[in-house]
Amino acid sequence: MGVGLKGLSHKEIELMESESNIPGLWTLEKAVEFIFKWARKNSLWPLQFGTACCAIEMMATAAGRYDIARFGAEVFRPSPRQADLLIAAGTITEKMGYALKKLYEQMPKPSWVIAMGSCTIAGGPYYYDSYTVVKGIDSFVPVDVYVPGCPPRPESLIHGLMAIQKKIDDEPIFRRRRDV
Amino acid sequence: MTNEELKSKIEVDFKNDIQTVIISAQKEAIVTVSPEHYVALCQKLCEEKEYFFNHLSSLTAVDFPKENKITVVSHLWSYKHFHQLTIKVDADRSNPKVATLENIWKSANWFEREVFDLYGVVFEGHSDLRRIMMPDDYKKFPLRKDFADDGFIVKPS
Repeated sequence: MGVGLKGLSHKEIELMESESNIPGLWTLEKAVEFIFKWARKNSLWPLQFGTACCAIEMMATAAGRYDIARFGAEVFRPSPRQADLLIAAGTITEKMGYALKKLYEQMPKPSWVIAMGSCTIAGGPYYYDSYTVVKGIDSFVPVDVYVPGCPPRPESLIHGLMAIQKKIDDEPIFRRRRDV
Repeated sequence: MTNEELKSKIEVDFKNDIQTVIISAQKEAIVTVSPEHYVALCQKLCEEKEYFFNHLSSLTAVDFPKENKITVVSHLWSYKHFHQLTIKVDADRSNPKVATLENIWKSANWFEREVFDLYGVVFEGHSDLRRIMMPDDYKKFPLRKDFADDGFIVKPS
């Protein structure tokens, strides 16, 4: 039709110009999506899961100076049934990997996973010569955001949490269940 | 007692039980004992008034594949006299069995479980000998020198 619309089929152009896709117009579908996403991203309750040094940084993030409660992560739930964010903080060995997989499966969906620190991303300083450290938890748990660092600063973890909030914004609200 | 006094006193008192007693290069007193006299010696060292080693600080093992033995090393400390002693006993590498020290010092319980988990040394008389850090169905012994793990371990290239 115009100069900037090369490569689009006729049907796509019609869809773009139709009423349901007018930018800025609020439809019922958009409003429902907005409410769901706003509720989900502003009330991410983490599961209290820390095995090693990254757990100390997670505690520091939850404490007064780098308050994580202002982002909605008000309480760290000890039970996986009541949490929807798994911050995997700390070295995961093979024996602990079975427990972590069980915890992830017990969390009701939709749930998100942050891999905090280099041990959970790729084995960390124990990558070489260790007979039992799992080299990255993404081999048995689907990870959404990786926060690098050893340990990451509290600001990095908060950045990771905001990245999860942005991911919630960008995804459709009924997400396909992921199986690893 | 200082380590030299300890060494001379042990040489006199336990002449028939021990194999050797030396002062190492790090100025420690090390007693090597044969497996038959191991528990009796430790019992005497714990109870007699001049020695009174009432604390087992550590119990580990060293693997010597070329000499075909695994040495179990235990460190004793006395809270009364503030002196320290090291005791070594050898075990055959193909079927390592050592008597347990659990009845004398309760802290030997977890130390011996760790040595069993990582070296495979069976402690006779132990009340609960099972793996302490590796998964329960793990078949191998990681701290032996010939441990080869099917590709799980990555070496820097």
